[in-house]
Amino acid sequence: MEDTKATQSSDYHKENDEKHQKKKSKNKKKRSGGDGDHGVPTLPDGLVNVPNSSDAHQNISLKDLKMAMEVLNLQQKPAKTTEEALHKSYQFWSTQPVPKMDEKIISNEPIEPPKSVEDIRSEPYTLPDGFQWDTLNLNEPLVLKELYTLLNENYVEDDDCMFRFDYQTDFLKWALQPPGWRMEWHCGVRVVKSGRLVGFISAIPAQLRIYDHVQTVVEINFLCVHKKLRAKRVAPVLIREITRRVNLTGIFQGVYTAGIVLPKPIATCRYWHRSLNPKKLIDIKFSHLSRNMTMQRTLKLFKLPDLPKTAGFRKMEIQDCEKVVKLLNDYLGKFDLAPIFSEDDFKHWFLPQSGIIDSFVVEASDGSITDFVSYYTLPSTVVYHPVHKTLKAAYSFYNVSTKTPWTDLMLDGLITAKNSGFDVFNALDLMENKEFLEPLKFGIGDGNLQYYLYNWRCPSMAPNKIGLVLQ
Amino acid sequence: MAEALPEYPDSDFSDDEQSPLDKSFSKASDHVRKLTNVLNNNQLLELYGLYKQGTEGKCNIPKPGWLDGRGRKKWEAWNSLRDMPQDEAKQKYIALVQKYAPELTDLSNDNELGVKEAWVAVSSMLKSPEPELVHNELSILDAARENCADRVRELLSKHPELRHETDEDGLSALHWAADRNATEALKAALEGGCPVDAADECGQTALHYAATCGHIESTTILLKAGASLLKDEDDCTPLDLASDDDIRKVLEGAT
Repeated sequence: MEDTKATQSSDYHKENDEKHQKKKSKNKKKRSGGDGDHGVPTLPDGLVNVPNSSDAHQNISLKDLKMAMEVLNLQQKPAKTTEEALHKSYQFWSTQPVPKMDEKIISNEPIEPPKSVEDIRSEPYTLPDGFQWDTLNLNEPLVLKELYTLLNENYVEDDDCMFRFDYQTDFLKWALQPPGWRMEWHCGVRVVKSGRLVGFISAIPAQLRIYDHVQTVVEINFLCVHKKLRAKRVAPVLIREITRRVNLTGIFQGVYTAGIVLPKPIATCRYWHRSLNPKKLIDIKFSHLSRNMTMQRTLKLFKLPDLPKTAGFRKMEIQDCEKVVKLLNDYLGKFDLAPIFSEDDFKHWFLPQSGIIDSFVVEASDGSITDFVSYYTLPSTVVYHPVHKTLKAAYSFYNVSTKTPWTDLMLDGLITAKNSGFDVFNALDLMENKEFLEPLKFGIGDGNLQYYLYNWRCPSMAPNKIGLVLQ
Repeated sequence: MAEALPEYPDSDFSDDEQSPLDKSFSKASDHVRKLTNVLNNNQLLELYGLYKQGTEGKCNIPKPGWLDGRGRKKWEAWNSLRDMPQDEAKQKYIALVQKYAPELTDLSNDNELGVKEAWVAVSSMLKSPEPELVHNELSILDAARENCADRVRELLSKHPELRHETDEDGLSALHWAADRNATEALKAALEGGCPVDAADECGQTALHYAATCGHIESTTILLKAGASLLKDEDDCTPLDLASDDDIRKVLEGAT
């Protein structure tokens, strides 16, 4: 226990030192342009003493040096930031129970055995000076709004991005308070002085089947650190802290998704997008008109019928849940990674809530439910646009087709989404989605979604073997 | 509710870092110094305008006198950007530098497949690359589509027969300009004598295109130029195909 603490804090210092040094050398580079610069001492009178030069006593004015170095500076190769970032994150991930990038895996098992309570650190991990932990009570509207603001402004870290997720407050409650949720798993970081919320990570419980093994896990989501805090390496501390809090309840496995590659993905999925409002999508540069394509033909191409056409297609109601949860769980048996829903879970995740989750069923003439479509609402902020501020996107959640062909079923889903004012319908290429993506004119997206398990090793899976969707 | 939240001082963050956009922007502007010899004056002026807009925002200096030709051109390049947000100007600047110097690959976070790499990123439609266009080699149809009014004017004055030029689907310069709401090129094409009611293979005029696409400005320009509400081969007038009530109103006002 003490060991972990010591490692953690020395890690932190090491990282800090490294950063410090890097910063110093960066500054130096600015001044001297220098590869092969080994710390030229600057004298207070603005002169530079060059100790290793053959002409050791020659003084060069700083201005001359600056000018000379500015020329050099131009030829200097900029640092490869992506590589650096990857290297950095691996430094952290190599301390975690996750498979190595090059590991060949044939087993399906935990990486570390469960810990007994006395082996789990009892006090929270140490944050950088000036920051403190705060468990967020999301039933408090002001706290919920603070989380909303943090995510809205910082969740997508890329400043050049054109779209940022705009998770709504009701959506956050839906995503973070399913049956079995715990307040201590809504883990915030605040600035001590001002109380400002600057970091967050969450866990929610789930039953997950990995190949033929059923495991209680947590789904980790909404890891977010304020933009101006990224250099302080708070994210690793957040991950360690949520792991500690989850471990204390006897859960040692987690599942999460990310856009980047970390050690080690169990699957790589890709987003696909179906235009519902093509003109707006082109206006905001979400999609693009190729040169030989007219807007006029594009509008015609994506036009949808006014109403769903499958007989018995309707909104799901509470009395359907008992049947549909069985339909869904049976269906998910097809996949190698899939959740198992209790009826309570199912009601929470799928009962229609305006602006959060829409679900539809196809009811056969004998009253049985044969098919199921669901999608959640996740708008994005359009970062620069004079007219359009929001992109309204529907995300395919869980769908089941047993009688209605995939293309007919999902076409009806698209029609309902279009009629509810969505601009685009997004789906990953997991489960059996490839059956309908191309026929229904989805276009491939520019974002991958990597799936990860924490403290579990298993062979990797093809996207069509993944039966799990997170928010 | 939001008003009830306290305002936080920026002093929460001691080591303020340059944003990724600013980093790319300064890398790009550093690189421009190496490009000054290979770029022509217009290219440099465009870069200048975006640089000023990106660093200082909206043009805030008086127009230089007529003796200062160079100064006036620079001023015009900057002033023409009007209210463009600074970040947008920076992005455009970076994109332009990358276009001129493709070897500067690490300005953006996209890898070679165009796939975003970030913890969290909003996926959007993957863009398939298309060859660069060279402004002074554009065909009349390309120039109309790209809203290059000068090029449209130049071509129509040199080769008046181009006003009847169409592609394999029968689309003329007017159709393409109307389809893209390329209003400057549309006006130039009309002034250059392109027949306003020319129909494509399906019997649709430029006004059909503007109306179906919901382009108010183009619809208005075409009506002003005397466009008629003709029927296409499905017997539909532009009014029948109008995308929304705003367009319908404009069209009805003309009849």
